[in-house]
Formats: sequence, structure tokens, C-alpha cells
Amino acid sequence: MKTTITDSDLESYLSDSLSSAKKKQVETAVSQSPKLQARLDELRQERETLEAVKDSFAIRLPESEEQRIISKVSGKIHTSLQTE
Amino acid sequence: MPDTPPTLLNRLRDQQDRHSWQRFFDGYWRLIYAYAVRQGLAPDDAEDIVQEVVTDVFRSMPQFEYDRSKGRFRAYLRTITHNRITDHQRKQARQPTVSLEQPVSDDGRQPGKDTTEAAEDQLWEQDWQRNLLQLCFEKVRHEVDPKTLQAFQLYALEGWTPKETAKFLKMTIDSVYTAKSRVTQSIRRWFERELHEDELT
Repeated sequence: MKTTITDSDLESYLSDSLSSAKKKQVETAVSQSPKLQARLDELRQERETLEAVKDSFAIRLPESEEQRIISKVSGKIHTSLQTE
Repeated sequence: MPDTPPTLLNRLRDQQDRHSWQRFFDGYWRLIYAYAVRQGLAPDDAEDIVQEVVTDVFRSMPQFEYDRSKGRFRAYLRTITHNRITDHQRKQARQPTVSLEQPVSDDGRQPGKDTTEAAEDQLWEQDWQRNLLQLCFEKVRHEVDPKTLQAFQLYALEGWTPKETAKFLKMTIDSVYTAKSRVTQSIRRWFERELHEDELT
């Protein structure tokens, strides 16, 4: 009987949270299906992107603080250019 | 997302183009600020650096002759930012209030910090990429429907399980995965597009 492998299975496979039996099942299914292999590669790439996105939040401050800075700096730039 | 860099650079030559200047500010202030803070400046001083760099770029753009062989726009922006930070650190070094426990070298920098050119380049590149990803994320936030965005935020960013997310948002677990994929792929597409545009500048 052919096993249906879902995105959920592939995600769990990538995060190494499957039982060894299920893991084997996923690996077998992927090896027999170029479509599943492509989807697994896609999900792997997504994880990579997601990690970079999470890391990019390091450049951000809380929204209210960002708004305060934007307002203050914009005002100073405006004043600085007007007094020239 | 700001206009693509080549387009934006052309528009910035017109100092009266407030829309483009606003886009430039929105697109780059966070990068300049974050880099200044990472170079050891206090938040208030980092705000001054943002103001000075944006003002410098504003003044220079009408005469700005873009020459790709001299480097990318991001390298140009980095040079202006770096110079402003160095000036600031030099001025601070001359002030008697500087702590004796943190001696400052002739160029205004505190010894012991890894301030080599390569390390600074690396910091700038890292912040550049982070800034670009955040801008792409902002773009995607406005493209997707609220429920998809919420599923992405809860599951992908805040670490909720797919099951918890699905239950809370009254959607299927598969829909949670789809939301995560959709948002992530959109961010990646925008990011690759912006990187490609950056290659042109």
C-alpha cells in the first residue's frame, strides 16, 4: 500500500522529530518520488530562509521606540536642511 | 519596499522628490542606526549618526555621479556612515569625561574591540542583509491576508506548534504549513530580487 507523505511529515523529518520507523518510511517515499524530493528541498530552503528572517529581527527595536527615533531624527534632518 | 536601488538613486538626485527621500530614509535608517550601535555608540549618538549620514547623502546626491567600478551604493553608504562614526568617536575621545577605565586610541576607538576593517565590513554586510530581509518582510506583511500572516507569526516566528496555531486560528494544520510556506517563499523572492538589483548598483 502506498503511503501518503504530507508536508507535516516532511517538516517533522527535517526537524528530526519522527520515530525511526516513520523516518524510514519518509526516506523511502522520498527516494521513490522526485516530486516529494523536490518538496523536501523546497522545505529545506524555507527553513534556511526562516532562520535568516528570525535573525534579521536583531536589527529591530520595539515598534514604539522605532517610531520615536524616526520622528526625532526626521525632525532634526528637516531642521538641519532648512537652516542651510 | 523602497524602489529598486538604481531607480531610487536616480530619483534621489532631485532633492525636491520628497517621496523618494522618504523611501530612502525608511529603507536605510535602521541599518545606519544598528551599525552605529554595534560600533559602540550610545543610542542618542546613533540617532545623530543617522541624521548626519542622511543629510550627507542628501547634500551629495545632486552632484553624485554613480560609477559602478568604484563600488556599490551600499559600500558608498557604509563609507559615509563609517566616517561619521569615526568623527564622533574622535570628538568623544577629546572630551575629558571619557572613563580612564576605557582608554581610547588616537582614532577615537576603544582598544580591545575588534575594529579591523574586515570585521567592520562583515558587520555592515550582516546588518545590510538583516535590514533587507526586514524590508522584504514588511512588504510581504502587506501582501498576504491577515490570517495567513498571523499563522506565520505564531508558528514560524513565535514557536507555537502547528496544532496550537491551527486551533487558535480555527484552521487546519495543513493550512498552517501552507501559510508558513507562502510567507517564507514570498520573503525569499523579494530578497533575491533585491539582491539582484543590488548587483546592478
